[in-house]
Amino acid sequence: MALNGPLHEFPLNDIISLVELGKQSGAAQINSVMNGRPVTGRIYFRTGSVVHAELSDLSAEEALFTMFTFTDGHFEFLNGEQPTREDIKRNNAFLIMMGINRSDELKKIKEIVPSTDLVPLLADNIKSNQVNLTPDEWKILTAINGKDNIETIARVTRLGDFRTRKAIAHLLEQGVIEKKQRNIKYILYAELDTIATTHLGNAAKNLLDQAYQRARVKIDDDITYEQALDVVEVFRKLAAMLMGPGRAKTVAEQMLERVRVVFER
Amino acid sequence: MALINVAAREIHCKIVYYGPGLCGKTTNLKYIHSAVPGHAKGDLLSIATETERTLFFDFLPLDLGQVHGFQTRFHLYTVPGQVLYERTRVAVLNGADGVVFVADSQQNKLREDIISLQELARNIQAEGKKFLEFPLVLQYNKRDVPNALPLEQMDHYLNSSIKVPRYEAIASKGVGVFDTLKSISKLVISKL
Repeated sequence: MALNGPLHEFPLNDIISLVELGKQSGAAQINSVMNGRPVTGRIYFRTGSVVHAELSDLSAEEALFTMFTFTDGHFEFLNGEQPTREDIKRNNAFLIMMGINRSDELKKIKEIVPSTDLVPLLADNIKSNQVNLTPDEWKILTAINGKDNIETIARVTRLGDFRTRKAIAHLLEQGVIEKKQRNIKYILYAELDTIATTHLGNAAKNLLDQAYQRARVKIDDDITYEQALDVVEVFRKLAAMLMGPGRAKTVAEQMLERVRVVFER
Repeated sequence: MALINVAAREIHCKIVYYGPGLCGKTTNLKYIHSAVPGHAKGDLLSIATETERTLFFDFLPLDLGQVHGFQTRFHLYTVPGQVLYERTRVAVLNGADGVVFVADSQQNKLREDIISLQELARNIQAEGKKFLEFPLVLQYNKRDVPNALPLEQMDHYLNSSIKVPRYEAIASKGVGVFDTLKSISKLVISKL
């Protein structure tokens, strides 16, 4: 089946209904952008029923529901592609309803939490005497350190973008946390941290903190463009010892590019 | 397969009234259509054929509360009962979310009831669905005729192996019609 097209003309619910109607087996491959980065996800079908979904490191249902929130992008149906496992057991109608609910909910949440760049921090004074927290909100609270932005928190807690934003929106509404003003030093730290951990795993967090120390830059102090270049250079040297100069250079180049974007150079 | 209308936030479920010729499927639908208030229903549509009995192809939305924030809308269809039209029955049955099997209670119709129910089972399986897990409700219609088979016998011949909810009805007077509809609606919704 040569089925492909742009998502804004052919939303996910239509794709699922069409594949169900034709009782097809295969995968719908979705290319879109999530938090400013290109992503590729897949929804697997067996005789028309959704049986699995993949998107970065999200669970199958979370991956599927997240893809419902993609408004721009492109899809292509790959006939006969099979998943390595089948983690989705619900029927298509239920999944579509949940997916659409998710997409609607995200629109509301985005009014409170417009960007994953935002750095939350604990409020000094909690106004109400009693707050009720969900397990997700607890998890988020323990990850808030005043440095990491929402994207990093979502990755560290493995809750995914939506559940993290939802919990943060609720915590903000309850006054448990506050939005930190957009500040270059924190944005930069979060950006570098994302690049470092993407390539080197969570151990890279330590390495980045060390780089800041050795470059004599305090994370909470304002940082200049030149200091940022120093931090990246120190990070490159430290990383080279761990992973060899070639890979360290690649990571450092990505970081430099990000530094230039943040400082608008 | 329930269809979802995103813009209207509606989920459309298809319920098919199945059974042998002249068992009262169309009577059921006509009664429901007449009893549902005007704003809650669409037009009752029919497609006539050349033969003695018309093939009814009905469409009737009926609101029945919300599921996961979506308004449910039921589309009710009848199939032509005459043996001749099996291919049409298969086509109408395609994509059904639930079936009401209307059985004729008259003694001399039992054989037709059984043959039709067996055909239904075959057609549902042909769609790749498991008959015993498929939302199905039986309606023993025409309970008021003098030669109506006793309930125990109807149960024995039609429902002893499948054990689904069953209702007595006199569709021409509306008796049992809505009990049957409510039952199948709940079954269909529970599967969503």
